[in-house]
Amino acid sequence: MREVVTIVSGLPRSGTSMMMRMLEAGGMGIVTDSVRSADEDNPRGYYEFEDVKRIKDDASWLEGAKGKAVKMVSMLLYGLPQDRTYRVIFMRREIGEVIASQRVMLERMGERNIPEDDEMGRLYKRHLEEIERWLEGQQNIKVLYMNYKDVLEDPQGGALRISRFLGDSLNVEDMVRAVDMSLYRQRSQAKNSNEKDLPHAGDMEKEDSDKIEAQLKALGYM
Amino acid sequence: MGKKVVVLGVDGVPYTLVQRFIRDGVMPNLAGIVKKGTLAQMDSSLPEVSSVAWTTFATGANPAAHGIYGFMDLVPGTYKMYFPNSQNVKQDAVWEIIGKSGKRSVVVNVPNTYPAKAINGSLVAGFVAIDLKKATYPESTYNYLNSIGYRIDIDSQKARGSQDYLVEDLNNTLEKRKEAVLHLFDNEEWDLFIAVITETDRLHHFMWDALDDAGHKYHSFFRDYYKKIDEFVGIVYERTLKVNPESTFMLLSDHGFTKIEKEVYLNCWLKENGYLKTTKEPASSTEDIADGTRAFALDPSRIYINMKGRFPKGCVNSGVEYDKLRVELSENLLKTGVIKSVFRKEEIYSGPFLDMAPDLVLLPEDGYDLKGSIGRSTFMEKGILQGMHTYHDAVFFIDKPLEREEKMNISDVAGLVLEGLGC
Repeated sequence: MREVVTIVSGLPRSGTSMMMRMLEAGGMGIVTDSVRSADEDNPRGYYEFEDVKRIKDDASWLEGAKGKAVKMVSMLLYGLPQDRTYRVIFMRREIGEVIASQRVMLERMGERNIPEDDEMGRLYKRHLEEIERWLEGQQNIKVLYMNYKDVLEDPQGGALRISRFLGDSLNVEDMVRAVDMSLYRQRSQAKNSNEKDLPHAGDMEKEDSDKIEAQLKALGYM
Repeated sequence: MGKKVVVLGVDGVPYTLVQRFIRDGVMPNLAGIVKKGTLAQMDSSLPEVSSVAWTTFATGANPAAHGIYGFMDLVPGTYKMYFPNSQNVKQDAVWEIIGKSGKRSVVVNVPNTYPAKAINGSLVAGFVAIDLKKATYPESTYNYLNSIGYRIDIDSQKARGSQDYLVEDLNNTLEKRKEAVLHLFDNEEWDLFIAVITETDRLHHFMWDALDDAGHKYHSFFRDYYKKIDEFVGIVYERTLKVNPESTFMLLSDHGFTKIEKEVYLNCWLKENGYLKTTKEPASSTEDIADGTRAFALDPSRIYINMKGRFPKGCVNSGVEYDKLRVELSENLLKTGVIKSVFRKEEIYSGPFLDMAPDLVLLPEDGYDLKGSIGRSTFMEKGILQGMHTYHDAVFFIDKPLEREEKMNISDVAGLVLEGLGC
């Protein structure tokens, strides 16, 4: 297992950061950089590694990733060199939730050209069918499919499955602790913001936080 | 006509002070009203700050269920601070619960309801609301409030520099609050009416010393201010009975108050005792926490263990190491002489958001105002503020007999509101 690179993959916003956090908590080394830091959308950080985006051109970093876990969106899996063996933990999440979560994040980032949900849904569905078919045919890749919601609802069961898949080398108890229920709120928040009239949702915090801090300090807080 | 409930909040008013002012004749209206029901001393939330206490009142839930542990909190997995607001509250408030069955509410100035959510009725958010438009639902209510020059709060920053200014601001803000409350009371349709007076809390923070010091420039002002509050309570109660004699009337505060002897800077103590390390001196925020830190504090009384897996620089293992550190911290904090009790999170909280909770919550001895500021180099000092919150001395009144074996807690009030509405 020490020679194997573990890849955490799936669609963007499918729970890959949470899975990385679980692996890290369980004692597994992770490959990441600090290019993208934690924010409201992924409050515990993104666990990204910029070099994975150039894997077709340069996969030399994989040598240093042996025995460790690295996050890679599913579109990049096609670029994995055939001369190595990999364990892939592939995160599944209901596509509507993925899109809702992405939309919240993109809107918060100020992105204006967000495709329609139906169009995104069709593209993702087709991609998932293709990548899963492709993975089936790869002799050097073992895949464990994990459902995001299942992990949140049963962290113990999820952590046990993952640990077994990776050779029973992880601390399951610490993995369970790393599952943060609050992240699952992204779904309900996105849903609520559509269903309810929340007239002043959005970037209130950025706009007002300095004033709030000043008020609190004047009353002796902070 | 359906059942109606009116709740009048008086922020930071102690039960013992109400009793005293009733006895001394400062609050004659309340003296008459309390004869018609039950006046009780009530425990607040832990921590005993307004955002937590009023959210506990509104939801009937504890912080691990409603998700609010203080005026500021940490983004999970980071040392970055944010200010929780109405959108971080994870339980329905009573006005949201009854709104689902078609009952209408008017909610004025309840802390931690900003930004205003749409409700079945009207809502004017309270502290720490910044912008009146964002603080108000629906727009017609905003238009009215704007037209009368409604004040969300006094200007505490200016008040720090001038007691004369504070007095004027307290008077002006209270007048606008009363005007708005009575207008909405008379002109809106409602089954549940909730209004909170925040000015009492501000009076206490800045002028608690005026209460007992007959030579204080504002000694009379302090008592006269309570006379104004009493007069307003009398008016609201009278109008409540006029709306429907069968209505339920409640009055409550979110915590008590007492004199500050010293402000106590917990992070300074943690640093001096080797539990906290920072990357620079003085540290300016929790983001300056350094490797090797085992514990740190957030306002006012929350201690966090820097655990592996919870925080990026976490170094404390779960299990035995975590438990031992909590015991050690508790014992050492109690030895300081300024801490009355130390609670482990699982002793006082339960719910799905327990993982966000501070690992220990402290209750100080009266007079020792706990602070979380990370940049201070002095453990204890006396600042400009005169009054501090207390946990055990909030006030509760209901104009009905109320038989309880246990002391009231602020989390009990939501149930009584729903009961009063026949829900």
